[in-house]
Amino acid sequence: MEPSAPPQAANAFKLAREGSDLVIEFGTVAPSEAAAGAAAVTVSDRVILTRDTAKRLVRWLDDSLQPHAAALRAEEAKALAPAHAAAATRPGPAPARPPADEAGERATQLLRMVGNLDVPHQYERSFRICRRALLANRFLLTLDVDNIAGDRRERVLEICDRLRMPTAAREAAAANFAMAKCIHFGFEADDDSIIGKLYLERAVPGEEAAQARAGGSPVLLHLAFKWDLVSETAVTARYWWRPGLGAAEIAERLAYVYRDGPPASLAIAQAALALTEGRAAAEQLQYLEVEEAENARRSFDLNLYNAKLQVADLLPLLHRMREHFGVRPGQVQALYDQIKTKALGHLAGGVHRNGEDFFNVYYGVVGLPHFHGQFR
Amino acid sequence: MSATQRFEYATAADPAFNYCLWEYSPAAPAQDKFRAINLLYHSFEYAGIDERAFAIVEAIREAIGPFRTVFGIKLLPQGLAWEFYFYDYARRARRVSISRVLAAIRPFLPCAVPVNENLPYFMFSLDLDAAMAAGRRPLDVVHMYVGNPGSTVSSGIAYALRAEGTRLENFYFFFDGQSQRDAAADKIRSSAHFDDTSRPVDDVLLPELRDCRTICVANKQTHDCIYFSGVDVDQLRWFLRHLAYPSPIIAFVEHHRGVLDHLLFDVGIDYRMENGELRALKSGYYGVF
Repeated sequence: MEPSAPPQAANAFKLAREGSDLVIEFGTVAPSEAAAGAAAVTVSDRVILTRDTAKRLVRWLDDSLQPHAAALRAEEAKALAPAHAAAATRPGPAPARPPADEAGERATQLLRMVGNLDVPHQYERSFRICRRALLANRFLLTLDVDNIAGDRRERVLEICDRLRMPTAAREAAAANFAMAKCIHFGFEADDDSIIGKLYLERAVPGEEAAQARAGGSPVLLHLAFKWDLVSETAVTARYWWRPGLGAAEIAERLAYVYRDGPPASLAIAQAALALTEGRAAAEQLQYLEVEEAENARRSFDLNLYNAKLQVADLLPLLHRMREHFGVRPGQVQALYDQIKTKALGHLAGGVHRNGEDFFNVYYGVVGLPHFHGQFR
Repeated sequence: MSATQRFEYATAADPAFNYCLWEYSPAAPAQDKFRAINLLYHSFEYAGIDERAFAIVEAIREAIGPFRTVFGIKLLPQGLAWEFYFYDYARRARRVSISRVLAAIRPFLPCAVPVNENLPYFMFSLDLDAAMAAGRRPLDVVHMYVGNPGSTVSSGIAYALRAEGTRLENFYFFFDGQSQRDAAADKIRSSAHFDDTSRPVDDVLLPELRDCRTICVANKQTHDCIYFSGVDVDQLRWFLRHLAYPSPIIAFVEHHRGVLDHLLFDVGIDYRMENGELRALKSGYYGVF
């Protein structure tokens, strides 16, 4: 962009809203007035920004200030008492960032180890969208326990060992392994963590599901162990299935999950449920709620595969998620371009273990190995 | 789904192409701003065209890939119409063929025009209007473009392919917008449809638009046409106002100027002189999806 006028220095600004626009006035504090403590400002520029432009400006400002974070902390510390200043200028705890390629190596390792079990399995990718972040390095591998030759429990736990599953989680998984008809290995990584997961999925007897439906109570479907290879922390999650819920009942449950959460996220979750209208009976969707003993996670997981939707059908809701979480449009677009024709799997959302609002979108499950007899 | 819900945003990997699919450097940082396709979607919505138009766009993109299709939004006396242009300079070794694109859109827009893929065309285009999008009328013509060996400037010849046969349509001549502007002016003057003794050539070679990358002059059967390629968003705004586009079309570009300023656009005006006055017969603006 060619500047149309020489740049003006400014040391003061004022923000105002005019309808959906944002008005910023830039100016300079008159030196004599500043010394006297008054706030007389000579306005030199007045800029009107649309909401979209203002949002982009905020992102760029934030990014531009990152390299100056230390200097800004030092400047702010000048106003503090000496005892507090030293602490304030110290950089925040640096994230225990794994080596750049460790996440990739671990993902490859998991894929290879599960492949070496030589059983048919399903591979399903997902992405998480949360405040200012889109995390796409996530997948699940699903297999039937009965297909594993030899000591099933030990072969599964051996894979977990290679992914440095903590001892307590390993012992709990071993103790509960007999409940599993099906298991899921999970993987996700971002800048600060590499998370391995093992889900034990029960085969819920029809009678138990019917009783739960009649009594309006949930049944345990998955017991999941999730551990962070970087921070060496672990959680145990329970996924409670509420069989046979109608659409109105699922909507009620979503409202319960989001009872203290952002209304915008509840509206998005309910709109996702509405997408299934006319495509699949709500009773054919699998609605789960998730809780973790170690934290305040409160979330849902709605399986949408029976509605035969594509990720493209979710586009309006992806736009709403992107706006809600302040994620860059181009970042979402780049992922969307790659996955828009994939089958939409399930949508999870709620309050995550770190207390943050989130959505996970699972998509495009495929059977592996591609030419295995059970997938013909 | 509304046009707004379909909007697409530029990624760090998006290429920038003009209406000949020649790459250009974006006029401003592009990431997170609008893709050009949003202009197309908005025009569909403004015109109230059938939803199948969106499906046709997606079918084309699925068949030949992203950023391979040029779209034109045209203002005709009867309202808006659209045209899609396809290039493959590999000629007979082409991957983007007429047959391939017609097969992709057949579920929405059948076409019975016979095609000889042995011909050395490097480009073709397909029309779309509201009746075709609604399935009330088939696609009955394919415009095919071949090179023009012997021409001293970049040039092409268009033919209309119909079930009844092939007919010569237009000649196109391309000039560099800076170094060959005088040659472009000479080409404009050398015409049966423009008399430069009664109107200045600047009435065609518009000062507001000619500061661009490429100028194309076309000789058509009943009139001539000028295209300005590589105009910026402010020149596009001027063009839309000058050619009296519907106010929502103008307002859309005005309102979103800040997220369109990375794109360079292409605009064209079909014209001829009638009773000593220059008359714009139709016009169009172009982008890529």
